[in-house]
Amino acid sequence: MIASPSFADLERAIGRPITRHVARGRGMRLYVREGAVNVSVPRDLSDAEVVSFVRGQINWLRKHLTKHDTGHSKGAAEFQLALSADDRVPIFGVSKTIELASSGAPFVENAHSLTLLARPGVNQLSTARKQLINALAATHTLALGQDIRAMSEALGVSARRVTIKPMRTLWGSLGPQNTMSVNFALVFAPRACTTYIAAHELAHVLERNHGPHFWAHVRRAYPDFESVHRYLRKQHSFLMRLQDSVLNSPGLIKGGA
Amino acid sequence: MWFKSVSAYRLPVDFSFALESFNEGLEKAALKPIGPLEPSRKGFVSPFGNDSEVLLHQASDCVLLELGGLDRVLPGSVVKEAMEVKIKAIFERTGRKPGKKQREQIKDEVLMDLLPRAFVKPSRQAAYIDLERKMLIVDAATDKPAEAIITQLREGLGSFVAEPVQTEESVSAIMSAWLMAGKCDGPFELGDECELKDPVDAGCAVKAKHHDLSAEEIREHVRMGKKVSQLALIYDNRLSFVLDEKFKLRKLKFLDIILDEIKDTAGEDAAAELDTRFTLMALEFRRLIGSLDEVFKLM
Repeated sequence: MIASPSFADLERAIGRPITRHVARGRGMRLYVREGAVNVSVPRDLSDAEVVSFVRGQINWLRKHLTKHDTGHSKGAAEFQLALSADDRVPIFGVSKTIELASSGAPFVENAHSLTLLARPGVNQLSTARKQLINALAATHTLALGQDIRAMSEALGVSARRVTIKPMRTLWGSLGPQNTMSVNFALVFAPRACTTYIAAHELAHVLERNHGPHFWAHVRRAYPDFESVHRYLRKQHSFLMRLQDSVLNSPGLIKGGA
Repeated sequence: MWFKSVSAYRLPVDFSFALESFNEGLEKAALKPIGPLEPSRKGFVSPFGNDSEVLLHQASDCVLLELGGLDRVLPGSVVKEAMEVKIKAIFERTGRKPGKKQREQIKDEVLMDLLPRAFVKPSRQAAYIDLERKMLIVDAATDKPAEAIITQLREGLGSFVAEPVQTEESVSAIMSAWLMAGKCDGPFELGDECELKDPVDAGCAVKAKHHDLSAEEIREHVRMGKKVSQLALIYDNRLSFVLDEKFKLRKLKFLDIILDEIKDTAGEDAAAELDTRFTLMALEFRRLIGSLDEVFKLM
C-alpha cells in the first residue's frame, strides 16, 4: 500500500512551510503572501482533503513562489517612501510627487504634488510617513463627505456615521444601525470608485442584499457603476498592497473581513 | 441651565413640529416612578424642575426638553459579597459548590433582595431641537446619552429620525493646520488645551492643558506627524470649548460677556430665568454652529 502524501511531504516538495488557517467560508483558498504559503480551509475538512487540494495546485504554487523569489511577484511593495525626488503616491488615481518641506502646514496638496512637513533628521522618514497618512485621511474624508452628500440626495437616505479604515476584503460595509465603514485604500483608486462605494453602501439602507432591487437603486444613484465595479474587482490586490506599503505594516489592517 | 457639551444630530429636511402632538408624545414617554425591582428607568421630565409638569419649553424656534433617569445604585462588589455568603452557606450545608445554573438563581435572589433597598440615583439629560436649523442638540459629549434621548423620543412620538452631524472636511486636519498656523479661521481663536495623537499608533497621545498652544514644543509634535484630536477654541470672545475630531464639543463655557448679559435677569422667577438663559444659549449655539458649518461643512 502506498501512503498518501502528508503536509510534510508537500512542504518538502515546495521547500517552505505551509500555514493552515481555519476559515468561515465553505471554499478553500491557497495564497502566497510575502513569500509564505497559506491555505485557508473550512473547519471540518480532513487533512487528506486539504493535502489533495494543495497538490492539485502545486504547479501554480511553484510558479508564484519563483516569481516572489526573483522579485517579480505581485506581492512586492507598491510604494516606497525613499525621501527622494522619485517619491510618488496615487491620490484618487492621480500620481502625485511627494515633496518635503521643513516649515509650514503639516501637508499641502495641489494638482500634481503633495508637500509633507518633515524636516531633515533621523526621524524624517517616519514623520513623512505619518504626515502622508494624515494627508491621505484628510483628502479621503473630504471626498467621501462630498460623495455621501450627493448620493444621499440621489437616494433619499443617509448613513448614521461614516468611518474610514483600512480593510482587507471589503470596499465598504453598512452596519445594522446604518453606520458606514469605507476602505482607506479607496483613496488610491480613481475618485469614481469612492463615489460608487458611497452609492453602493447607501443603497444598502434601502435593500439589505445584492438583489435586482438593490442594483436598481445603485444604478439610479450612479448609472455607470459597472465599469467601476469591474475596476475594483481587477485592482483589489494592487490597491491592498499599496495600502499595506503606505501604512508600512500589514499588521495595521484590522477589521473589515 | 448651561450646556457643558454638545452632540449635534441632523433631523430630516421635512421634519415638522406640532406643539400639541409633540407634547402628547413626551407625556406618553414621561418618567414614571421606578418599580422596586427595576434597575433603571428613563422618561421625560420637566425642564422647569420636579415641581412642574410642563415637559417642554419653546423659545426662539427652539424646543427644550429633558430626559430624566432613575438608576438603582447597586455596586457589583455588594452583589458579589452577598452571593458569596449564600454560596458559602450552601457549601457548608451540602458539601458541594453550586453549579452555574444555581449560581445564576442565587444572583437573581440576591438582586431581588437588594434592589428594593438600593439608593435611587436621579439624573437629567437636557437637549433641544433647533427648528430653524433642524437639529437636535444634546448636552453630552458621547453618543450614548444622546442615543437614549433619541430612543425615548422615538418611543413617545412613534417615529423620530436623527443622524449624527458629520463634516465634509476632516476636523483633525483643519485643527492641525490651525495649531501650526497659530491662528484659526473665522471667529475662532486658539484656547489653551489640546490632545495630539499619532496617526499610526492611536494609543500614542500627548495632552496639553493650560498651555500656550503657540509654543514651539506643541507645534513640534505636529511637525513630527501627530494629528490634533482635540483642540480648545474660543468663539467670538463669547464661548470657549474643546472640539474633538468626531465633532463633539465639550467643556463649553460661556464667557463673561454673556454672563454679564444675563445679570439683569437675576431675581426673576425660576421659569423666567430659565427662559432667558435658554434663549441666549440657543441663539449663541445657532451662531456657533453656523460658523462651524462654514469651516467644517456640516452634513
